[in-house]
Order: sequence, then C-alpha cells, then structure tokens
Amino acid sequence: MKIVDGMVEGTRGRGGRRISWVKNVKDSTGMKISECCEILLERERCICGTLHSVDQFLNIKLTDINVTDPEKYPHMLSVKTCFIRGSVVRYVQLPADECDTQLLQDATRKEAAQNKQR
Amino acid sequence: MNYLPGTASLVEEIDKKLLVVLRDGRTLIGYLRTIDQFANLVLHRTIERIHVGKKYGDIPRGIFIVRGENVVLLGEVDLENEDKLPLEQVNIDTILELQREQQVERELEQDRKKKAMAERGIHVDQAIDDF
Amino acid sequence: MADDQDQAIPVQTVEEPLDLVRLSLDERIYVKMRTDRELRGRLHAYDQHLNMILGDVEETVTTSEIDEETYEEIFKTTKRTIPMLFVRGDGVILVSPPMRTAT
Repeated sequence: MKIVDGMVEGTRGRGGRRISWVKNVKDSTGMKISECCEILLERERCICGTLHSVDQFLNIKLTDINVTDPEKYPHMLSVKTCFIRGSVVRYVQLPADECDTQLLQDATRKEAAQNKQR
Repeated sequence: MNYLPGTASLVEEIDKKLLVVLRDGRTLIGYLRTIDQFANLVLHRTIERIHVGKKYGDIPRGIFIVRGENVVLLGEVDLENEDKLPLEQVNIDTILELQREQQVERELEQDRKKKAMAERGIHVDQAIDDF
Repeated sequence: MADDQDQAIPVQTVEEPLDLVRLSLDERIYVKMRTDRELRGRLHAYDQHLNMILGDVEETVTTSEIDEETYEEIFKTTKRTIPMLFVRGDGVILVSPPMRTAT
C-alpha cells in the first residue's frame, strides 16, 4: 500500500499535471494486490494478472499472469511476470468493486479545471 | 537510475533471461543487457522461438537491438519450469517446415476471402493483419 | 444531470471538445473505437488523451465475412459486458454524449 502512496505523491510533486486519475486507478486497484486485472492487447491477445506497477506511458507490470488461451500462446507458459508496453494495450478490465467511481469523477473534474487554467 | 516505487520499470529485468514478444508475433528469448526510456532493448545470446501447435524450435540469433515500439511484452522466463512445458522441441528444419505449411494455409484462407470479397466489388487492403 | 456543486469547477461552458466530454461524466456514453468496436458505458474518468474509465460497459464487436457458397455478406456482432473498463485513448475514434431522448 505504501508503495502506491509513494508513487502517487511523488509523481504529483514532481510535475503537477499529467499523472491525473491514472493514479486513482492505482488507488483503486493497485493496492488490492490480490485482485486481477485483464489486459486486452492488439490482435486479441489477452492476459490476466495482478497489477504490480504502472508508469507514465501506461506501461504495465503484471505478476501471476495467466493467458486466457494457452493453446494460442504456448510461449507464455514459462512466463510468470511480465512488462507490457503501454502502446499495445487496448483495454484494461478492472475489478469493479475496487473502483471508487465518485473519486474518479471528482479527480477528473479537478484535472479538467486545472487544464483550463493553463 | 532513480525511479519511483510503484513505477513499472525494466531496470530490475536487466541481465535476466527474458522472453520478448514482438508486434509481428515473433518470440525472442535472450538476456536483457540494456534499456532506455522508449523500451528499446538490447538482447544478448538471443534465440528466436517458433511455435506451431504443441511443437517449437529455436533458432540462434545472437545480439539484437529491438526498437521499443515493436515490443508487445517482456516476460521473465521461469527458469525452474522452463524445461517442464507440455511442448515438444523439434529441430530447426522441422519447425521451419511446419511454419511454412501453416503460413501457406493461412494465405490460402486469406486469398479465398479476398476473392469472395472482390467478386462483390469489395477490395480488401492487405493491411488487415498488419496491426 | 448537472451535479457539480464543487466550487473548484468553473462555469459550465463548452469552449473546447473535451468540455463536452466533461459534461458527460457519470452519464452513459457511446464510444466508437478502431477495429470495428463500439462501447456503451457510464463515464467515470477521462484525461486529455481520451483515456477513459467506463463502468457497466457493453462492447460490440462487428466482423464481416463473406459466405463462400452464396457470397452472402454476413455481419457478425458479438456483445459482451464488462463491469469496469479502462480504455486507452489512442483507439478512440469518437465519443458521443448521452442521448437525451431516453428516460
């Protein structure tokens, strides 16, 4: 938990703008490390795993990964943790009950207002 | 290198044996020697692994500098279970032959579709599978 | 729908495209994506890249195939629902605000 806190504050302090509600994704999901998220990539590749970390490009690190269709992706059988380049991600399915939607909306409004002032 | 905790970083993966999946579907396995902010990679003692069904073959490739934008994912190879996969290793020629057969089959399939489309006046770009 | 009692928020005017997206927060929106995908869901968050978080999403994927015998064009749509979805902005083609006719 502390790890995620550190990330959020740290990133904010440094640049101010930009990190935005992406941090809330981490607030809502990253902390509950037991939860899974599912990443859908280009070409219908799909990987399930526990969100370990995210960076400013939305590159993602997952632990305890599972490929939904191991027949199709036999090469992933020997891999437990992976780094996914943000640019190839289409969706991330999040555990809904871990997401504070009110928090997300407030953060989005705040960020929109901040971007206005610039 | 100074990075914040909770940030996805490749620094910890340096000098580990990694499996890299590229955007064109190729799989490389090698030791990650260095990285930069674009996830450009240098892979050492690389092999290219070709899977066809439950069979796979390895082709030694040497050193690779991989441009980051072509990387889909990197995974740390689980060295303990590396040899316990429910897959069968075959030699290079066999796997290349299997791959070629698979490729021919796919092209036939695509041609059929293209032809059917063309007869209806629809011209399909070959770019479909390019993404 | 106007639920911004928050003082930090400026007057609700639409000066730029993203303002319209802001006004759609907590509403069900329609998102057209690349590769023949459409999403309908409640907008919970977005940023300047149009990365979004949608809740109770219905995804529709359309594929078209030609029947080789009859040359009939078959459009297949597959639907599925996803409770909470982060959508990467670079796949987004358009965002449509909620329809006022409903309810």
